[in-house]
Amino acid sequence: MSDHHHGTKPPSDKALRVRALEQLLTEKGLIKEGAVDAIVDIFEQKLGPKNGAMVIARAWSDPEYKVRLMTDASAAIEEFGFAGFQGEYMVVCENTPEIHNVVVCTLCSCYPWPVLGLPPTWYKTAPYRSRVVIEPRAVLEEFGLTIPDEVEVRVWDSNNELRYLILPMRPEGTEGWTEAQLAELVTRDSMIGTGLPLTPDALTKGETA
Amino acid sequence: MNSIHDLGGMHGMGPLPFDENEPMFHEDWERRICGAHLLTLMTGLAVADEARHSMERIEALHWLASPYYEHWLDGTETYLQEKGIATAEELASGKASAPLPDWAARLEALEPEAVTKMFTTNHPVTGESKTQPRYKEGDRVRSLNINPKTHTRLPRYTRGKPCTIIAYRGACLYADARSQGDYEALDHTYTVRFEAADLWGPDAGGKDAVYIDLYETYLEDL
Repeated sequence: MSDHHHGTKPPSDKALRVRALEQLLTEKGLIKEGAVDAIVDIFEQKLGPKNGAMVIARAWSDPEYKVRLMTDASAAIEEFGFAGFQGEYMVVCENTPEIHNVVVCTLCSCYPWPVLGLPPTWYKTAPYRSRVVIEPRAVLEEFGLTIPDEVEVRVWDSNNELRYLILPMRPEGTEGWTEAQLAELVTRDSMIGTGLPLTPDALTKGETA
Repeated sequence: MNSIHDLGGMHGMGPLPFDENEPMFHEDWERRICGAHLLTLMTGLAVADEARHSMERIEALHWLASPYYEHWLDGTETYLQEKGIATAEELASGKASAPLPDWAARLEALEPEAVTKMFTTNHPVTGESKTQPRYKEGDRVRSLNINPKTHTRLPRYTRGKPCTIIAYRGACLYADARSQGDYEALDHTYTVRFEAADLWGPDAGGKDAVYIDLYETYLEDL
């Protein structure tokens, strides 16, 4: 959250450059006090995979909601109040017994912020971006996910204005669960396509999404 | 442009950097540049496509060796200078010595409350095109083999290959033109499907495919 715990370590060159940039734009009247914090506060307090998990859990529970989500994802997601930058044009891809979907941005780091927050480092960096389009099954193996030969793998390279969220298959043994219970099974990676939701067993053993 | 940012299909980039407990930001400066960079875009100092083009012009050796948010810092400094908002001396000192260009002087700095509202509101990324879309779902087309030195959203690994139109997505903001200052530009956008074997040859998974959103400008009849 802050670099205060680094004690007496002097500020890095990059820290000095960022400070100068902020000071300059403030002096030029382009940045107001508190505006930078307002953005970071949203990431730190309002956005993250818990949002996406609520969307997925409702799609599992409510067939009419699922239709809305598959037809106009941004509008269906906004029913929860999740909206804004990098979520304006959402598309949901449904995993089935025949098709497994996985998302990447090979050119930069496009990611659906309102439902997933900021991406993990692996999503943003060269090893994932370079390989998942050419050898998706090998990459998914490294995430612990073995895709059977008969299942088609679709890699979605989100390079334009559209942002993708994966609707994973609902785990077995969850009949009668509430949306709140189901949401606890939905991991971040299951909504990127590099993982699966937790099983009820895993949840009982103390794993958390 | 064919720079290091266009990574799809490359080998040798090292292991996936898994970290179960990684913080959202590793250092406070990452937190600050994340917010400051996005704020410059929200204020109207640049559009995201200009910012991306600034970042993809970072020299490859430095790009590979530097952390993610340093790209944001380098890129932000680049477009602030190129658009006449800051000089190198000002960015080094943090002290203003040159006036803003008229267009930037007319921009209004955002109050924190306005920032929060704008950030969490959906803004349109499509518009009304003057032309009709040329293709429809199911059409077989080919992506162009082009190598522009400017910004493009057509990755190298998808160039000059046959593909199938899966869906028409409307006339989206046209990144290539916007990165060059034509901010109103739109282009019809389609989700297309490339068969893995057409992209990577016979060793690729026979059932697998890449789906990607391409502008109509990138496509030709097959």
